[in-house]
Amino acid sequence: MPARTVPSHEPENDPKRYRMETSLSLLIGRYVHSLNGLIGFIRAEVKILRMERSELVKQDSALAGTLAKIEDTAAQVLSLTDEFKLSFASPETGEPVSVKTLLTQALYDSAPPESVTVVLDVGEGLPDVIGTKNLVDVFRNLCTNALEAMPDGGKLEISVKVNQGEDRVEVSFTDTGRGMPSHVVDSLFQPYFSTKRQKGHGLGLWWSKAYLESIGGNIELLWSEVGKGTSFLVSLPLFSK
Amino acid sequence: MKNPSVLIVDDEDRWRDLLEKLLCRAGYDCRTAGSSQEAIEMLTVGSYKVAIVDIRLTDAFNVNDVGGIDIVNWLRCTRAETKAILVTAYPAPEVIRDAFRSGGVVDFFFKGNIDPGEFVSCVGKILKCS
Repeated sequence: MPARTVPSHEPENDPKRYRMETSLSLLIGRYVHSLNGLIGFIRAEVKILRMERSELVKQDSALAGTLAKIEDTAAQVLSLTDEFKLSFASPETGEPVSVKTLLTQALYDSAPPESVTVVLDVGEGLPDVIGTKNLVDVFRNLCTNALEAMPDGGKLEISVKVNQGEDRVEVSFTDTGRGMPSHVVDSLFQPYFSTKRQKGHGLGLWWSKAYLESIGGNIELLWSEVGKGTSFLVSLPLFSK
Repeated sequence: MKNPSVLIVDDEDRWRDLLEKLLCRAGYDCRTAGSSQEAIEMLTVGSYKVAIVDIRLTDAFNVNDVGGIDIVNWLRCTRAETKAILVTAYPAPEVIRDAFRSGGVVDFFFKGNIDPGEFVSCVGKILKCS
């Protein structure tokens, strides 16, 4: 894969790209607005139905079940548009920064307990990447997943190296947690539909993959074994002026 | 007993119908407007105690239409006795904050998770106080 340079998003450096991203943000904003309005309408009508036909809903369990499914699905869509808006509805800005800085921030945010040994193996003199809030979120998501797989303690090893041949930085996240069975692995990068939020940010791996691919990077599961642990690999394009 | 008067301003007819249905069933006299121009015409000739105003009335391709915030500003200058409740499907915190700070806005509802009972109750309380 050819090296991809990610220029700074300052308008004076790349006005055309800045205008394109601003237009995209506006477009996304309009779509989110429309979706929220439509979903909100569905939810409101269901609530009105419950209020005005409360006796009927009480007596008809099938009707009550269907209404609950509609409400639950609508809530999930709203949650998705919320994440989408937060992630993409503002022009993304970022500055060149070392991966170590981003990882340190992500680790701090995920608050590893004392029972987990954290090893951060970062070589010296690594090239910078473009640091964005979304990228820190991706790293934090991976740290949080690893920590949640080790409720009784363990080890989280994060190592960074440059893949010279492909001009990329590769960051691996390896834990000694409970690992994942094959049926979970198969749907790992599927859209994350759940109202249960992980430590308050609710990001799913599907979002992380979509975001990384949008900046020329990637995420893959290297291996996972039940009772042994899990290892993910994130690859990022290098920043070059 | 004379019913107090509410004006609902929203460019989407499904939302105008839904909010009107809720308030009419609660016994409140409602009117609706589908654009800011229509809203200001109705507010000029009529007397409303509450205006439910959708923030994003502006169509990006219709430069002659003004947004919900402009209606709020107009009310503050011209019909200060009319209280405004903002609704939106895209809550931009700074827009809502500025609208509250400028005065005349008494409440806000996000269309994505609006609670019909709470909405009706809120309008009722404002009407009782005015």
